[in-house]
Amino acid sequence: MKTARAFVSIVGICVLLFGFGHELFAGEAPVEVIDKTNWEKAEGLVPAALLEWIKKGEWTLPVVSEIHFNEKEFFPDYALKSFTENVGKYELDENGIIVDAKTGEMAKMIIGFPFPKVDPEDPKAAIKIMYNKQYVTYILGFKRFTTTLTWVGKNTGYERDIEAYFRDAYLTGFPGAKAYRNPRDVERYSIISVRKPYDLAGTSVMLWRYLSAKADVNFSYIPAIRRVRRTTPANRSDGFVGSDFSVDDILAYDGKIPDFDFRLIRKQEALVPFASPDTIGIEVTEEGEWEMAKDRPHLRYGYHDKEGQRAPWAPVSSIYTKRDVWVIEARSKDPYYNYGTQYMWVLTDTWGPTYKTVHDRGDKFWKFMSVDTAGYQTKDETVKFVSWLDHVIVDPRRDHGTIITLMRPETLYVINAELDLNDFSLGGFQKYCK
Amino acid sequence: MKSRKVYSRLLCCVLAVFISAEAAHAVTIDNKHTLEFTAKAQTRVSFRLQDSQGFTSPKLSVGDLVQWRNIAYLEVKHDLAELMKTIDFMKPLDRWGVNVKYRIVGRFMYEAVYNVGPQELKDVRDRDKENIDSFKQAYDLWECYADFSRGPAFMRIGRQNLSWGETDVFRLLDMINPLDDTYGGIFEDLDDRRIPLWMLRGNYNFGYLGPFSSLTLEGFWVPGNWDARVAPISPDGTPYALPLAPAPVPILVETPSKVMSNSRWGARMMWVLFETANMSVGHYKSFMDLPSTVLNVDFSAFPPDAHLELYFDDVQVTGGTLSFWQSNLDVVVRSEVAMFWKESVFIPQENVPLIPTGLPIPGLEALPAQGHKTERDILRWMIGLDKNVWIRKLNQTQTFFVSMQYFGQWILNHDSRISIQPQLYPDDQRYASIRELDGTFTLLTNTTYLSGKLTPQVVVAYNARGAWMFQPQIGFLREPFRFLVQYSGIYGSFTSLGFFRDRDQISFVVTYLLN
Repeated sequence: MKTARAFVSIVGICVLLFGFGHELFAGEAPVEVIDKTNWEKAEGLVPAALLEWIKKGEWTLPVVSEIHFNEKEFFPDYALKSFTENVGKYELDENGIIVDAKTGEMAKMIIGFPFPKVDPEDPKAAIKIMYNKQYVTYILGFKRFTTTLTWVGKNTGYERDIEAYFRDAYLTGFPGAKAYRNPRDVERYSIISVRKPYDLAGTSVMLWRYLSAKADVNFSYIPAIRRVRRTTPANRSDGFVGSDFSVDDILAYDGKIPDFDFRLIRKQEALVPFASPDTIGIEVTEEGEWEMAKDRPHLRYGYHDKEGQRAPWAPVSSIYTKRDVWVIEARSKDPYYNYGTQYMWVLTDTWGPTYKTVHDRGDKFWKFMSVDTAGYQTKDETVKFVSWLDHVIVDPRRDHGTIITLMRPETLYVINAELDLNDFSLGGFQKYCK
Repeated sequence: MKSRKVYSRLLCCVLAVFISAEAAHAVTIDNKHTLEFTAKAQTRVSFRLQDSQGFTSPKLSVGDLVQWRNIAYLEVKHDLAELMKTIDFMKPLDRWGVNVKYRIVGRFMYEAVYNVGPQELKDVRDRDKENIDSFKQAYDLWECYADFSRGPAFMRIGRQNLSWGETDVFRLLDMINPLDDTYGGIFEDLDDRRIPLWMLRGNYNFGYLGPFSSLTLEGFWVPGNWDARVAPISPDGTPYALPLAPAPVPILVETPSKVMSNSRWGARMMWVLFETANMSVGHYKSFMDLPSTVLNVDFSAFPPDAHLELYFDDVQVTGGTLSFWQSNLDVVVRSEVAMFWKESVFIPQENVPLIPTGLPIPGLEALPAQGHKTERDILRWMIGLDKNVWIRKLNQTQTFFVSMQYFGQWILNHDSRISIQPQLYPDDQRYASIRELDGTFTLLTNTTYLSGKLTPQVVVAYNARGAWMFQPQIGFLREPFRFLVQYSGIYGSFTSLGFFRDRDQISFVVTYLLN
């Protein structure tokens, strides 16, 4: 009898611990879980679309009162210095290009954040916030990483995935960029190569983006014709390889800032997702690169939990906490752009993206996007930074979503990476081609 | 035969390993994914939708199976970056900053139509067993190359494909690798037909120079004593052979011998001008895909001993490309121009002359005379436009990709007798002429639905002399499979594309991907 009682007690404790239906992190219990029984607690703190899904039980928010790191301090020293040194240093010209506030010349080398203090009354506040959002990735230097795009359907669950390899080289934002000759005022080089599945493997896209208003230069390598071709830079609202993401959706908006009209709607408090309340380990390699440690949390989604009620794209292991955000309205200047008005929620302290809602060209709600924030740190705490990881985008009209994840055990994620700029030339691009 | 059995068993074992692996994941050796095995297996079945006409042989009918091609690719990719740090003899490469990777692809192909197809094709095999048995199967180390790169220099050594130029559907500057049209003709994807060559290839990025950026010099060399292969010729009676009248004399196919003088080689310079226009100029030597014909006669015998010699002439090509994005119209403009120097042409009266005897004796009205090669300089060009178009009534989430091209051709010092070799049925002495100026238009459009699962595409080609090709297809994917239904039809004049106007077919393709 005593044994049976003990057994029942143990089982009961386990049910209590695990019965919330979400994954716990070591040493942390959520303050509460917001689900369909108490959805009112999230009202006004998340976009309306997400609230509707919480009401239906398709999404739950495990909320913590605090995370275990102060993300406001999680920037390299030069970026922290820019919070004071760059105040008033830069402005925007009539084309929305960042210029030196004193000389009016285009700013070719910005270290840290260009607009660390944003006045909400400034008519250009929204554009400045978007530039800060862009530079929050540039300040960490070159990157190379793999991601998996996973297609999930409400009725079908997991459908397919593709793996892509990204290389990003920024020629502004961090001190190391000064070492590179940049006579053409390139802001950024990027290459995205699809590694699987077999039929798409080898498909690669290369981007040259400029600091000026000059349009991007795009190249694609198409395995079917074994050739590098020039492609249009204007087709950024097209679905990326048939997914729910468009090219511009990365980090809420990955296009050229001057191509959009932005308006600051409000500042507010929000419940925002984090990959973990703890920092994720970073190891410094022999070459001085910062590589995500192997013992990383594996972010899980509804499709992993076949018995659960959550939507297959709903994050299961993300946690939520309150942060202030800017809500920005965005409209493309391109009359053929496939999206209508978009609303982007940008964190005020770290300038990272968190939510986005997309309306169609008739201004009806169409898609919802969520991005997880994560803090990274070495064991000796000498290297620490925040970055934005998994993206989820949902198209409720088609009951379909796509997840971009960097948090699989086999994912490569290297910041402050060593990249050869020759790779981003016409000749170098051939290396990634079959 | 023994080696083929061994290869077959090996293929079965390897495929069993791969298929038993979890679907849609590569087989990897290490957790950094530096070494990966992937594979693809495909079966393609095609049914003829027209009765054979003219000189096409054998005579097949509507509904006949004309293709059941089974093909498997096994691929290994290995990035040696990690290994170079640990293996002693490779450490110097790591210290010098040399990046090394390699890729190996094995291809296994079996065409089953000669076993299970219509009786006419079984008879083709029975008449020419050894040749057809050899033709219908292939086991190749298909691609096998190593990449070495350091800073601005890149080199790829091994069996590989190299494609220059800006064209789709048809080739212009992209004549470096030969094409294998024997198993599916022009209805097959260009890349599936390309035959890799053993090649040394390299490029060097000079970077910025005045208005030029990404200024790159690229060169290649296919040593003739390594590889002098050319496009294979379809054996008589195979479903995608040219419709030629039966030859009255034996045919001897002369392929280039493996000697250094039969090397392919070339170099080009490419750059981006004012960050706007992609340009290149280059020159290369290669071999034409279509053989030329010469009648060889040995007059020491009576009647003279004659045979038709099919030879693959080498050709030197000089050309350039220009492509840019036009922002106002949001189109990508592509253009290409190439001069083919002394390309072999076919003038029946010169290549395969028959001298009238005036004798009213059947079979002796004309006697063969020694033919000779004829050549001309031919200028070819292409201008194309690519545009992504939103047609929201048809697709709310993806654009339609539309690509249009015009291919032009001008034969310098044209001779009105210049012809192309398939004869005009029923006269085996009459050939379709080639005009001084000729042109072909192409249109390709595709889009995707159902989150990329459904991909319809249409390709249309029109030759100015009245031949059309129409090729709609629809692809569907359900991991790890790909399904394709494709119609291929050619109509109109018996010229250019029109030589295959009696080969309309419908094809069903199922592909399994490991990763």
